[in-house]
Amino acid sequence: MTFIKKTHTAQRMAACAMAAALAVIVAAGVSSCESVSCPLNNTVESVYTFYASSRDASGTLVDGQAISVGDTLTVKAVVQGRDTTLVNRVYNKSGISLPVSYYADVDTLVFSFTDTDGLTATDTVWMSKQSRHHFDDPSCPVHMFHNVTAVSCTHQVMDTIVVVNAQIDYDGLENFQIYFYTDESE
Amino acid sequence: MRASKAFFLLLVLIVLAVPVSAQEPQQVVEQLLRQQQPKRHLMDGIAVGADLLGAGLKLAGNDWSQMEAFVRLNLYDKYFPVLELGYGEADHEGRELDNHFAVKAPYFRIGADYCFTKQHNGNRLFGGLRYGYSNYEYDLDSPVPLTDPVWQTAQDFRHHGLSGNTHWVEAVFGVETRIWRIVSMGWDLRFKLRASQKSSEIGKPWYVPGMSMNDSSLNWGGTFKLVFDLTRR
Repeated sequence: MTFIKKTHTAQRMAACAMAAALAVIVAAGVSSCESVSCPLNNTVESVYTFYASSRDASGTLVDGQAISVGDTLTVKAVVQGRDTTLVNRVYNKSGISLPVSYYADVDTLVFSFTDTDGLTATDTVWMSKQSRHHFDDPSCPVHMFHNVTAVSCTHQVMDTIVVVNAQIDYDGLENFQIYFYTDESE
Repeated sequence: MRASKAFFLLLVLIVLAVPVSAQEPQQVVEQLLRQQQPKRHLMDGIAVGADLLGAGLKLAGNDWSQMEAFVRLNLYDKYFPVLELGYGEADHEGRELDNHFAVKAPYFRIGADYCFTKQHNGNRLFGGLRYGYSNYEYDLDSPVPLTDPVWQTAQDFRHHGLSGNTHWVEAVFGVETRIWRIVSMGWDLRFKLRASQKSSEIGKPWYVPGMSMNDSSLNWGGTFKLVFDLTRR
């Protein structure tokens, strides 16, 4: 006596043949589907923000106030002895984004500030870095990311420049804070 | 006195015998069923098999494929510890940009299944868990040199032998049916969760052997299995 209904072998094989066909269809579907997730913001730039310099009695730099520079600002990169303009005559900016060289060890950037009287003050920034390739997906562009190792500047109008985030990528986060002389800090 | 004692003893025996003879038909049927089912043992058998879906992907010329085989123990025809060994490979070019990714590496998964069906006839509905691991080296290439648009310098983008590894877990649900004697076939669906991954700082792998696509921490997949099942019947 048995209460179990036995499935005929031929019926089982037919069921498995249907399952095999379904598996082939699924495999074909899997092979034809590809989801690509390229980052929407994929421009690699260094981000500079501007602050008013403020020092305590011992001369230590303290957190300054974010400012907008009223002078006209032009930034040029010195490339093999020649100037290449990166930012041309912007004004009233609280910060700027600049490209970073892919393969140089040190980037030399010349910041020129021109006031309403036409007087120009120039400071040079040297940024040392290590660069590396970055790959997201075979369908996405390849990028170059950078790790800042050191930064320095001349002091015509810039008191100092500080690295707040050494990783330069396409996240758009602040990398450098430039502190400008004010009447209090000079 | 002796006659009364004997009569009392006979009466007790008759009373005790009544429950046995008055068993419910249902209980009799259940007893017969239990006698028909073979006694299950701790080590009730062993099975080996292979995944046909992965082989199908390779034959279809898919950008990625994985070939795997497994060995499975049968404990009481209810619990099935399993070890899966495989070899996954990928050779993929991106759409439009032709950036290239390649990897070839082995992987393994270890886990166990639980059979939900009560009948021991080789037809099983099961669920289970797996832990998977793969250690691999992968290649990333671009056919076009990476050119600095401002400083106008260029370098090739070619990185070979980047090392990485991935740990993941899978939840498995599937069916298996006995076709003929020791030959069974079955399929399962797997939901995969990436537990941890170590990659080169240049970039993550596009495909992880054994786990499939690496674009998300949660993925799904499946197998279609041919099994040679040596279970006691």
